[in-house]
Amino acid sequence: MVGIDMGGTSSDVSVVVDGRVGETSEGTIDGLPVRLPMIEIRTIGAGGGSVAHLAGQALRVGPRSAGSTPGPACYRKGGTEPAVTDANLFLGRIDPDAFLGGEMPLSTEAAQGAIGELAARLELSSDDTAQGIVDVANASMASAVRLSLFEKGADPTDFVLAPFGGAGGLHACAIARELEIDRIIFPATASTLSARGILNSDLRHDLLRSELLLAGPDAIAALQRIVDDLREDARALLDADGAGADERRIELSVDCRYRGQAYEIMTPWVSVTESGVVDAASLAALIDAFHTLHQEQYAHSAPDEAVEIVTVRAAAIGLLYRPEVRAPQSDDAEMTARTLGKRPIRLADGWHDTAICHRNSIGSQPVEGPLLIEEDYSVLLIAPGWTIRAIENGSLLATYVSNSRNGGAA
Amino acid sequence: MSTIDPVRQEVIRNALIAGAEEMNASIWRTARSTVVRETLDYSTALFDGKGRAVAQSTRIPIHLNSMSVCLEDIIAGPIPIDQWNDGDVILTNDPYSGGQHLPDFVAFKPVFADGRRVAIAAAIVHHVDVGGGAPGSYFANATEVYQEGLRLPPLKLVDGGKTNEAVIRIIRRNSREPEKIGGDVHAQLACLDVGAAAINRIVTRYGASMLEAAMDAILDQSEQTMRKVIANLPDGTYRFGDVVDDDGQNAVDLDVIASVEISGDMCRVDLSESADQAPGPVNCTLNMAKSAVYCALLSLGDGAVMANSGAYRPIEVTSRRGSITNCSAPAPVANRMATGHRIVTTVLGALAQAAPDKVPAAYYGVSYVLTLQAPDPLVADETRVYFEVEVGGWGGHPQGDGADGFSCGFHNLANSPIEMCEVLFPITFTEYGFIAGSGGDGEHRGGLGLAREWRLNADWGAVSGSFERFRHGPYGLAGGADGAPGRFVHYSEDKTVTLPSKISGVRLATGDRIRLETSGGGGWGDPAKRSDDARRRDRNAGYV
Repeated sequence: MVGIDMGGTSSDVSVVVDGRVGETSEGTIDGLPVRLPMIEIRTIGAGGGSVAHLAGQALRVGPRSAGSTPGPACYRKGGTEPAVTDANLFLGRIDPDAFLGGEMPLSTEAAQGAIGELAARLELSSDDTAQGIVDVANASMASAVRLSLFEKGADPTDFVLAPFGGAGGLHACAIARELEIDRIIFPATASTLSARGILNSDLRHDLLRSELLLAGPDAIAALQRIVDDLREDARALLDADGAGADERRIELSVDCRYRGQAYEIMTPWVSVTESGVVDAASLAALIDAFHTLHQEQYAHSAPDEAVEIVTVRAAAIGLLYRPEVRAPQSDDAEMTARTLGKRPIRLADGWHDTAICHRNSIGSQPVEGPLLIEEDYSVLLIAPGWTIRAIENGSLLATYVSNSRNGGAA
Repeated sequence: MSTIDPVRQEVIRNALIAGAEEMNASIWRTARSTVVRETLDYSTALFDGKGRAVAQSTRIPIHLNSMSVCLEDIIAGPIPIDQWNDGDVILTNDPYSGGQHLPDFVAFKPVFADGRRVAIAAAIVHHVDVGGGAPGSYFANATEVYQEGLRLPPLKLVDGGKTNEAVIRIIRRNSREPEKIGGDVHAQLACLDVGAAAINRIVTRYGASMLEAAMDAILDQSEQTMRKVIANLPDGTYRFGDVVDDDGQNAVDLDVIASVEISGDMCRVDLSESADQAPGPVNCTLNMAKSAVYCALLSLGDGAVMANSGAYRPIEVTSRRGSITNCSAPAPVANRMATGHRIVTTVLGALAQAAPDKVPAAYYGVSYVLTLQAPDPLVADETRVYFEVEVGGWGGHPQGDGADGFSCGFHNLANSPIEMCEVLFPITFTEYGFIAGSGGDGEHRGGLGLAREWRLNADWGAVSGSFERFRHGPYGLAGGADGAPGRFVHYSEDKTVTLPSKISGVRLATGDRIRLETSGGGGWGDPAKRSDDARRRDRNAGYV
């Protein structure tokens, strides 16, 4: 799964493989290297507030952002340049009276004015300018996703897109098609998903001990000592957290590399996580796992070369209660009844009277796009060629079904 | 030329830059040697079908600017563009056929659509060793390019989809690190396919004609932006001279002199008055000189100019054949960066007369390449080669002090963490830090140079250095003082020897210490105008 958290000033791309979120110890914060384990995220300067402007003869979007103050022109807080949110409003994709659950009415005229001014300089129609702003933003987000996956040797077509943040739902279909991704998961409460995620996360302490060892029989005693120390420290921390015996997990992993390399691969040590015993067999299993990971990440491995152990890590995890996932709230029969009406929306090939419905009215039976789905703090745009249905955990699943108009972009 | 709307132009521009970045990630992911994986000494780019650089990854400016001139040379001579067929890869490392120095392999792959060549994917990679008189192919005593390693004229490494394995065997047989160079050559070839795939995606989506129109428009836009930058400078001819210490063989100053003529939105840079080419390996080919000049001029653009062949159009670079800035075969070139950096500081010095409010005083101006060969601390009877590039201080500038100990944009390489070095090599660091007082004084002082000192723990070691700025410190501007020059010192039990800046194979014994001091940057403005606050800060921090 590849997540795009699209907010006001930037979008964050993250990757989840086999249920595990990508981690790195080579991260940066504010341009400075930070060598601590953290979630691997690629941030690009494209969000709802990204400002569209003319660069030579080209239409450029971002990285400058109008932020929330002055914000996009339609906020009427002093912003005069058109932002991505202005383009979405102009194209009918955002309801000016339903923004932030109706708490912040947007000015369609202000958006029209800002886009009209840019359109005149571009010698394009306002329609094409607004669509162009969205197209450019989508293309740069798709590029960032492709690069994030490429660095892991992964193919986008094997992934499901998970858009969240306030603006993610409007752009997901177009970004997915740009990447030839066929499925999109729209999580519930997308606009606050990050906050909900941290509230539902388990407790976690990362402990590590660095010691350079050549992976071989001579290292077993030293490794057992390090593993014992780390597990003892981890248990003490979990005791202090009040995590019970069935509410905890201590996962061991080892940073390994071929001798002479300066980059390591964090290799899960499954056998020792389970048994706590370092012996010839568990060490051999670790080395095998490292060769496999190296092959996956770097497209080659060298089973005959010496392997070095640089750091042993223990993740002490205290499992927390997780609320039950919600079931779909309605069936397909109610769906049409709850349609909120229609409104003209500009899609890539022109204006269409498009059905609008509330998220709750989507059932397990697939509904065809084009369709606008409104929720309290976000809007989902389901482009032509896609269908959408609810799945067990309360998320909506969109599937690309046909090479219809515009190939499923919006 | 077909026209293109502003939206498609931008979308395709993004896709081209992303394609170059994917190539970049591909090399990083698959390369074997530390010079590629840690020092990140490689670059990637996408060209149009005519051979003009359009989009580049964010890597090493000196590489990136040089690839387009290299390609021009190849298609003007050895392999005309009409002989570039689908499935070919053209490779060279020959400085006298458009390359830089022998470790840098440049590879190009034409991409076809609708029966015509619409783009070329390109990558330059510094390979760990291509033979020659010293490990790493940095042979300080070379007097001819023949002593510097294997030289490959432009050739089709892949011909119609079929790889010429004989060439790969020759490359491996000539290297001290056959496994690593073999792996890195394959990584380089694979990244070209990644670039071709990126082009094919654009063609499938928008068509070949739209891609071509977008590339034309991107080049035109870079040209216009560069012309604006030049037009903002007052017309006139500005002369400046700087000095390369020596060529490692004779202690003779080597002048680098630039005459920069600004005329409307055109810039002509003539380097002909520079010294004659030297016996030692500090010579630059004209391509290298051009690349350095482009780098200096692009730095005036405040980041607004997208570096590509369009940006180079209003810049004309000439130099006298047989000079240190346009050397003739078979002059050796391994340490061409000594003069390359000097061309940058010389051209900037000239431009400071035209734009005194923009140009900083001189930065350290050298890639401090140090190698140590010593027994492997982990494996008996094996030796290892430690290779690092160190940096120094930046020049003070009209807006503030120069940065202390900071890599410059021209080579843009990462340093090696000392903790890692101590583990991998039989050395213990005894000092790493700023050198107090090494920045040139001025209203805005120069950045500080660095001292890096270690002790050898093994029985023996052999150290080599390719340095500069030991006799002539980086210049100050607008009344600022010069930065302090660097030093290279060998401490042994019974004596202390100050070594020259360019030397190969200094023999070390257990307990010997090696100390490298890099230059501080030049100061900017009258020192009398430096504020009391700034001076107090410097004193409190121990910077002076």
